[in-house]
Amino acid sequence: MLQVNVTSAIALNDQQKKKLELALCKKYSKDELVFEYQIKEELIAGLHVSVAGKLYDASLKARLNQLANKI
Amino acid sequence: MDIQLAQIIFQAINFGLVLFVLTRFIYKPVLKLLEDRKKKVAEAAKSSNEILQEKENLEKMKADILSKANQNAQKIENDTKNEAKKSAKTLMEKSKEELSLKEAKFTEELAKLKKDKLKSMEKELKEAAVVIAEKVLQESIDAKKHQKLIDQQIDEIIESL
Repeated sequence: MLQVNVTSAIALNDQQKKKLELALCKKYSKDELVFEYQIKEELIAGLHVSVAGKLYDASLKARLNQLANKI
Repeated sequence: MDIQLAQIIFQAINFGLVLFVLTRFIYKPVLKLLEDRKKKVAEAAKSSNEILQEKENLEKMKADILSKANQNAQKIENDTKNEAKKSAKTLMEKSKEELSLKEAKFTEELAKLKKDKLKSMEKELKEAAVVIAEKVLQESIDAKKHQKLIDQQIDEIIESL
């Protein structure tokens, strides 16, 4: 079983969830995935997804931090 | 007045006797006494001269010793002065060297402190900029923009899979 943690600044709508789940099920075996959704306003906007030890962080908070580190 | 031969002879013998006695018991001892006295005076004069010579020698020796003592004292004074100058110079050089090292260390520490402070200020500035940007973004992004951003990011994540 693989747990997929999806954290976003606001709740994802059904369409967005479906699109994301479909894409991840193509990448990994469908039966193995368990999705868990969380809301964290500190992300400012956007979301990050962690699955199988990989983190896909597309949140504005992460981008701001990257930008601050580059300055 | 008749001159009698016997009388003359008697007088001659008498004179001779008196001369003998005088010579034997007075003239010779006096002469010897005078000779002894003369010798003693000469010896005393000689001794006196010797003493004077010795005194002169001693004074000369004293002067030599004083001169040597003065020279030695002067030499010791000069040596001491030179040694003191040398020590002072060495001490000065050492102090200068230590001061230079301390100055270099201080400069280095100051530069490090400055660098650290600048780094710290830079970090604080970045953090402040992030906080300000977060607030500005939170206030400027409405629900519609949130959804649009999430749609875009889902696409990005799918592309990166």
